[in-house]
Amino acid sequence: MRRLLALLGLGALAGGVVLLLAGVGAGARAGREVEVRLLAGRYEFSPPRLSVQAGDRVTFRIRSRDVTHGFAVEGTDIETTVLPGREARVTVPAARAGKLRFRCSVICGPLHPFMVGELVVEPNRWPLWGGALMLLVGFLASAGAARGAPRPDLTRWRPVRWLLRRRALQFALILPNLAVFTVIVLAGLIGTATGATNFATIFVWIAWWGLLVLVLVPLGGRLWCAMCPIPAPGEWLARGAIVGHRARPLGLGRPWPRRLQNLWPAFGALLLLVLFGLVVTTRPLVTALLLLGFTVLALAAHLVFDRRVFCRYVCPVGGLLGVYALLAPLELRAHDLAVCRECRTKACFRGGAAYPCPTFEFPGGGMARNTYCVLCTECLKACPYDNVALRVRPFGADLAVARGRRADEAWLALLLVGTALAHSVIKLGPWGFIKSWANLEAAGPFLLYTGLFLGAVLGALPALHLLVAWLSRTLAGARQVPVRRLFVDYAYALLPLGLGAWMAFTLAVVAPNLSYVPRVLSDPFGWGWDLFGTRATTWTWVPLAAVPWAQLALLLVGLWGSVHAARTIVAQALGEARARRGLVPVAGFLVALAWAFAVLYFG
Amino acid sequence: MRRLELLALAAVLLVVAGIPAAVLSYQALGRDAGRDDVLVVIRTAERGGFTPARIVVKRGQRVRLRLLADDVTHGFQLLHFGVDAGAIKTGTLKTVEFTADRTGEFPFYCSVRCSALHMALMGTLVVEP
Repeated sequence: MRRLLALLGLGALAGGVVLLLAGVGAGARAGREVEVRLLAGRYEFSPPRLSVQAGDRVTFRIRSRDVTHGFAVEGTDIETTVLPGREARVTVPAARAGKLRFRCSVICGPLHPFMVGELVVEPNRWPLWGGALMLLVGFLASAGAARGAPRPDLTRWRPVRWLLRRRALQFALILPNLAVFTVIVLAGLIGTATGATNFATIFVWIAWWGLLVLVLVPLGGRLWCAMCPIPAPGEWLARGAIVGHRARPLGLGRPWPRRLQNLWPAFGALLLLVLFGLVVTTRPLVTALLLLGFTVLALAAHLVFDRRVFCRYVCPVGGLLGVYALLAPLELRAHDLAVCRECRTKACFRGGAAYPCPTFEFPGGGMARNTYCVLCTECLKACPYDNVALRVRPFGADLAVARGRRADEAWLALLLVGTALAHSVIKLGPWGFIKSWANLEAAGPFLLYTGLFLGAVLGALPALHLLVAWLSRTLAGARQVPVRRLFVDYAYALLPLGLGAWMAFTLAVVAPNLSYVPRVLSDPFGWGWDLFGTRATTWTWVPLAAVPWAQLALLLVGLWGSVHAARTIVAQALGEARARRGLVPVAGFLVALAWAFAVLYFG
Repeated sequence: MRRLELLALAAVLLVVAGIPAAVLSYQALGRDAGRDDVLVVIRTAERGGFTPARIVVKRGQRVRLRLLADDVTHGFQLLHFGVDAGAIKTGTLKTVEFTADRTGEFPFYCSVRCSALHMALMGTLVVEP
């Protein structure tokens, strides 16, 4: 009863904060008429950030410094074109407190999608009250342990079991993606060099990335890997079959080098990808060459080595998907391990009626986490006892599994959180000079940016994390536990917040640029085609005013998941008795990280 | 099972070879249809300028130009025939029509500042007798 009252009270408090954020209770003030001279140039507005009071009417007098730009205020239908040599005038009513983003609305070059400016309408309470909500969430989530929830098996349902046993299932999933992939590579190689009008850049970095991070990963973990076209040609060649099961493969089947049987190759590849991220995601040719390169690499790997080593050890996206798959509500596991103990053939691992697990997992024995399971269902088809289940489970379930935590996965988790922060600064921020540096325009600035990026993401953040681990051990009085162990274990607590942050970041990048999707469907190569009559689309499907709310919700849910997981992980590492004290620095670190994102997005 | 395998192989080949073939043939066919219809792709001078930079027509011909701004916003002026398409935003197409009633060589320019070499961005319309 007391708990219910407390929960109700806190819920009311949270509701009150939300209402405050929405501007309820803020008296309507007679505002001033403010005039702002804005200079638009590639790729920022000058000044990049402005401050006005709620109730003001802001008249922008905008001039272009170089080529034709546009000016559009997110969340409104205010939009105008800024031609060189002519001043454009636009009045924006700054009714509610908060932050209004404006962006360039006429394609002006490769970094056009990231040309944004910020109008801060004071008093902007979002960072303060967002932080208060985060403290609240951190406090609430740190209480109580997880209760084991039932995990319903989807294969108990006949249609699902029938579908998953079809050998043609993987092919049916891969073929449409292979078709889209072909168009992407072709468009990148021979289509227009303008990223925003090329099918390659829009369909990889807006459509696919958006679907991946916002839908597939949170709901299905590594589900993309089951339908990815990149390893497919190599796998078909190495197996000597596209759909069927052949007993004798055609590839050389050599073992992958021992030294590389970890995620460090994937870590290195991901690091390179995010370092060159701005250039890769805005040039169609680079996107096409990247995908083609991965395909060739995967092809070679399949012909030389045994099984899907590219996906398991090398693919940078695989590294990302692998760690975030721990959070997914879907899992492929043995239904009854007692049956597996009696099994002589171990067909799920060794092969039999179907191929052995392509990522060397052992559902019948060691597989307790989602990290390396690509959901290809070969084990389900191979098992002679029909003992493999596809289960739905609570979010974040694998974070509680202590066995199998490794340094390479921990560093991936750290890299991903750091990159989310860094990319939010570079791509979503209004600071053009950072974008310039990251745009590989000159060697010197790019090296400076590289140093800063690596220093922050691989230096400062892990150092803070190490400090937190040490503080946790010290406060809990558990000096016998090695700090290195805590460094690795605690990194897993970063994953829910990391995914929440990536979802918030992706939403902010994808939503304003969604109108490019119908455009490139009609004119994939930028050659003046109009296949479906949608080449002139300018509307977006998502009401952009809702994006900050969605971002706040994602960060709060991610923070909840992280602190909740940290509670379990700290108890596992330091013992139940000392868990509360050991949790304090970890929860504090997580709240601080979440608040850093909030300040960046809303402040 | 064998038939399914062959079907799958056919589908893969259709996709990997068929899509590029379809794209390239559609583009080639599009060019030939409507001989008076000329697609002019406009890029900054640094990136190649007008493509084609030289358009040859016959005197008296009704000329239809489809102008596509490829990289940034461009303009188009062929003032000798009273053609001023104004600003053409990136990725958009504007069509202009006129009758080539005089012979000679007539320059056309970009009329919206698009790069440092904007002033050098020009092409020539050649009207033959």
